[in-house]
Amino acid sequence: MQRLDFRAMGCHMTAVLDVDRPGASLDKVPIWFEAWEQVLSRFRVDSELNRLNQRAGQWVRVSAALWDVMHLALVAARWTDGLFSPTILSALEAAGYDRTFDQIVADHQPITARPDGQWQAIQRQSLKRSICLPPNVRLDLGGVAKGWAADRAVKKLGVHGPALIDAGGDIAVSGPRADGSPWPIGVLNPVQPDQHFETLKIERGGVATSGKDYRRWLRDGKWQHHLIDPRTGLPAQTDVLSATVIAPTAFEAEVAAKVIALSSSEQGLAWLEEQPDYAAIIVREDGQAVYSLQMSNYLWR
Amino acid sequence: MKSGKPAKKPNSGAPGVKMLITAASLAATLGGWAVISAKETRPTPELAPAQAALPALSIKLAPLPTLVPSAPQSQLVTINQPRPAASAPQPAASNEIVLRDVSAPALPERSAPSPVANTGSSR
Repeated sequence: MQRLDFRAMGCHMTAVLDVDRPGASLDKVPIWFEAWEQVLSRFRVDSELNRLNQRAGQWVRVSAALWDVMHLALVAARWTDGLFSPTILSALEAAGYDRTFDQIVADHQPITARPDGQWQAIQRQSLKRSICLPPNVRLDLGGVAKGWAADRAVKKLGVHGPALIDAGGDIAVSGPRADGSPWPIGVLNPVQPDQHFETLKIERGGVATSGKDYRRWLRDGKWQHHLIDPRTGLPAQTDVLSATVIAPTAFEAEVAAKVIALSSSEQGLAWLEEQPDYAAIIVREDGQAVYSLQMSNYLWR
Repeated sequence: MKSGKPAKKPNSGAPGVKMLITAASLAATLGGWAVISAKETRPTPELAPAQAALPALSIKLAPLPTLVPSAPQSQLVTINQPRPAASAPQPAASNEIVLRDVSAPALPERSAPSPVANTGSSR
């Protein structure tokens, strides 16, 4: 089994290939992620995403990668009735997340609510692979870019054998391991992040966790986090501390985890139970964990 | 006056003689059969040694014809129609074997392997 750890998209990444024969190498995986980050990051001034954001109101021809992520993001926005939105960048910056997480410092500026919903006004021309953002609307794909990249990388890597990609906690798996067994994936305890409280058995698909337990900061004397509720334009106020979702892809898992994290644990669980082939563990702020009905199929016990 | 022709004697002894001759003849016949029967060799129930020593005969029979079972009639399954109710399970016979619980040490729980990766909030 080969394993490679590296850093990209502001997160710790891991690539695993359950093949030992020569020729199957993980060396290219960081190169792929570097190329995708250059397209999708809002923290790189010269990224393709930033160039698109700077030209809001105009038609811009985009790369296949940006087009693909944008398409999936809009599909997810419709699927979740706008609870997931790619156009929350202004609200995110207003909450204080206007630089990389490592650079955020506490300050006392008041937060201005910026309700969202402008994703519906984004125009696309598929034949020309062009996008036109509404004026004064900017995109943030950070919520789904890692899941998309994990899916994409594991698909490319999977031609060599069973593969796993962990993109900062968004995990994609190509299929069972070489011996036919599922991949053991730990679910980190949001209260004690150096420990996992469950081990999942995943044969293929994706796993992702979204929560307000890590990326949080002080602003105007209150704790803020990166999960913006598009309905209010403010960091979500719910009883959900973190939500872990298993889905057919890491992208879907990431979107579903975010929807639950933005909802209450009760509403989030009810929504998830309506989705076929999904399972979730929701950790509430009171420390209690809630399991969806399907989750028992994935617990390693 | 008496005639010259003598009178016949009464034949009173003839039946006894006939009976004697018949009995003697029957006795001789039966005695002869008895002598002949005594001289015949009777087969013993055991195999005679001469018979056991006979060379084995290989009997070649024509091969049996291969019996081909007749093809079963294809079963027609009707979909989207209610199935016939399954027959109710038979009640357990009174003399059915009853398995009794045997206490045994519990097997240790299968412990989860170390995770290859962990999922948590993006970090």
